[in-house]
Amino acid sequence: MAVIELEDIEKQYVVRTRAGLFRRERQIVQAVSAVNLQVNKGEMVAYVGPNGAGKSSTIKMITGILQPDGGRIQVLGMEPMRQRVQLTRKLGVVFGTRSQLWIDLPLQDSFALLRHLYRVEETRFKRNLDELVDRLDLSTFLDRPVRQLSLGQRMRGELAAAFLHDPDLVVLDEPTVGLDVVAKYAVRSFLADINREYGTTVLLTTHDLDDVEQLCERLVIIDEGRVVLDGSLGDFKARFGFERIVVVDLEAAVEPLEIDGVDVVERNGPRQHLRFDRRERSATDVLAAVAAQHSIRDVSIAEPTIEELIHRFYLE
Amino acid sequence: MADVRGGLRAAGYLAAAQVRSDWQYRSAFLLAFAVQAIVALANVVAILIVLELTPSLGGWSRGQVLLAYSLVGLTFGLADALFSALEDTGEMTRTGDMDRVLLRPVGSIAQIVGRNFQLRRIGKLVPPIVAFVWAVPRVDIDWGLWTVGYLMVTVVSATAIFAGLWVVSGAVGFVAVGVRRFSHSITYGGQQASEYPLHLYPRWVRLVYGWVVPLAFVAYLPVIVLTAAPNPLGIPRWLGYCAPLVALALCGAARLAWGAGTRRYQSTGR
Repeated sequence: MAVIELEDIEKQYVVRTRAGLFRRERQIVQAVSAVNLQVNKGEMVAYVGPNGAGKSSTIKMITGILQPDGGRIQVLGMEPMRQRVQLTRKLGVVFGTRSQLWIDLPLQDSFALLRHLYRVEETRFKRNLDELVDRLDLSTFLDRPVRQLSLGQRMRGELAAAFLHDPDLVVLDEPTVGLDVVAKYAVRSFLADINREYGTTVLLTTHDLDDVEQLCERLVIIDEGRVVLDGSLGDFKARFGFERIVVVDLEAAVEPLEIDGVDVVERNGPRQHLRFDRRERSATDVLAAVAAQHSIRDVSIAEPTIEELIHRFYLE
Repeated sequence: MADVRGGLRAAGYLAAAQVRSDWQYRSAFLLAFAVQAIVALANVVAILIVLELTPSLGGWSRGQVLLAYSLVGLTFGLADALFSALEDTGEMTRTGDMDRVLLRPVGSIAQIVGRNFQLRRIGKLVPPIVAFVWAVPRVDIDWGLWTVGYLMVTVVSATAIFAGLWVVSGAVGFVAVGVRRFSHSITYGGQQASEYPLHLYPRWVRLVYGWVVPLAFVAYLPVIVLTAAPNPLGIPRWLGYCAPLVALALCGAARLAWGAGTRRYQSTGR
């Protein structure tokens, strides 16, 4: 069963720029063009793209807070805009950068308030809350004001808040942004467990390849308002991920290294970032070539972000 | 109707949460309360001085003027305490907080009113209550079931009229973020204009603040009906019984304006 169905969705914004004292020029920006997307029940999909690619606009249209200019949209069998209030009862939304908790009140007060707003009956609320407290390990800071929580604790609270009313679909906008490794792990394993055990459909945006790698079998990439890839992480890597960056620390600051098939993309004193295509050369191969010219003090491999990969793919 | 009840309950919970949040910053909370009380007191003194100096205004006795003032203050104060948070729609649109409001299964007016509730606004009710208590023994009202009922209906209708104005000004906030000043000229401006008998004003003011913004129904006409105050403009007395209808019409229009505002928000996004 399709939980999200987008058919040829279009969205334009009118941007007014100042062209004189009173005159303003109208400019139409195409935020989303002809986006098709179908997400089935129980799927966990990563929705990825550079800033300004149209991710947020798509999410807003799916959640019913933005009206598409064209195309057909159905979420949980409803028209998001027309049936917004009805839809919100079955929808959980997490914004990584904007809290839905009451920052001056203890965390548990936010949950109690949300219970009233979503009209979750007492017994179901208690059961859900107990389970969420347990899964997300919230018990030690339930009675602490949200403003005093660490970012990781707060995000765990946000997750609990979004799942209290048993949503069928949860949309998360950058749920791991700014979190440390431990907190990221907690967020990911929670989402994976819930998705597996309850079949909750999850759509998340992220800039972190690890999120995709560990959570989502399916990856949808949007760039400049168009879906450029809809497939697995494997598909993505086959198409974009042939590029590697090796960071070498040399004994001294020297001129950019000149090695066949390798570009120096950044140079910082004795540190140089070397980019190469793994289909043409291997990392050991590159390092051997460097070692033949200079002595190497340290080596690391940098993981490019999804955006970097996509961006470069389109530039070249 | 279940929708309205749910909205009221939700607004209540949100408002209580807001008061508890404010209470986290106790000194600021108490200070704001004290300031509000001082302002309230100063206003009481000011109106008493005006009335000491002016025995009557445009043929209205001191008691009649003060009764009108207290009705305006009371009903505007109630509407202001409950609904003036709606003027934050522009700001909430700008910051994106409106998104969260629209993502919850509760009416948007109820949510905004609740989450932005400020207990200290209730302080504005003090001067009109004082004025009311002062005025009542000084006017000739034939107290009975009918007059008390009329007064109660008037207070409810007038509060609804002011509330409708706040909703409209909030709806405008969806469209143009920087129109707060303009909205204030209607809400606060209307309050101030209707503190004095309507017939003291030039024609265009009477037209704007008496009938276009229907504030004649808030205090001017009720005082004429209740106390048989002079009616130099010769306004038909039956209009004094129309406040509930005017309130209903205005609130209906406000509801439509609000709906149009949200729809527009949804078509433009942030």
